[in-house]
Amino acid sequence: MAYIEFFKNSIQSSFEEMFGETISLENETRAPEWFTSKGVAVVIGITGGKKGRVLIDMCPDTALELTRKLIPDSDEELALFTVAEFCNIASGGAATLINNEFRGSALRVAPPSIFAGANFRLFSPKLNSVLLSYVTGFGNIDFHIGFEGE
Amino acid sequence: MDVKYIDPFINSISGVFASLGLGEISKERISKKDSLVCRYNFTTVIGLSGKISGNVALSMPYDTARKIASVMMMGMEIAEMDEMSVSALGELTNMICGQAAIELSMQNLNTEVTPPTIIHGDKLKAIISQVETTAVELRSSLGSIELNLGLVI
Repeated sequence: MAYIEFFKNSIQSSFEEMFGETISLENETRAPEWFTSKGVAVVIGITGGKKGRVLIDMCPDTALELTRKLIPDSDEELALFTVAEFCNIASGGAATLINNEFRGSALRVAPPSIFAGANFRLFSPKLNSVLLSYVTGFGNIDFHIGFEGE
Repeated sequence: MDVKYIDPFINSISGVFASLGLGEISKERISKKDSLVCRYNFTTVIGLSGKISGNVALSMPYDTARKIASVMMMGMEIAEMDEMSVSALGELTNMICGQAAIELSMQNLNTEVTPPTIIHGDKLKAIISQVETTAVELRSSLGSIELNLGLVI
């Protein structure tokens, strides 16, 4: 995928800036169309020259640990919004990098939608997605990044 | 939320249902939610960006989704939702939001829609807007559907 390096750069810099810790890319594979969430998922749609979506997925404990790094007495509700904000910053940053590099792309991100629960499945038809699996001191974090027609 | 932002989506869902042979659909009631806890276990979500940004979620029971997909797939019997039938529901949401975006553009509210994401699960908490969500309960011959609009204008 042409844009994936921009997303990797933005995810890394956004994470390190927001949480002050390192994030390591452990694996990069083709993402399945259907998958079962680890418990907390945030979806951000992308419009413009290419349509796509960014999806972040992690365990509720990882979301809570991340949030408590910022606000020590955070609860589960705040953790959902923290993950959404991180996904928003990382996606927006990648869109800016891509728009600066490819002048005609004009990518824009939609606001995040947040999902939490046990054993829920997500499906994104017609997108060719890459799964970026990251390791952090707070737990594992997956990014599913897909665009139409890639 | 002003009705001028809600009506394009209700008009669109009626038009798309009629054009696909999904029967009539009627509005039951409209309510506001601070955050959306999905009433039903099958939800499709599409994002919007432009003059209006936000997310639109169509939520329905799994059985309603299965019936809609069956009609869209020329009456094919669907025991379990597979990739093709789930894609049909994604396409339905795409058509509804695309048509609504055209109607909104006639009010000079140019808006683009993102690809759909489909979520299936029980007791799912969903927050599609960090402001407020307007929920429109709809009744169709194939079952209940909840249209959720989390829009920033």
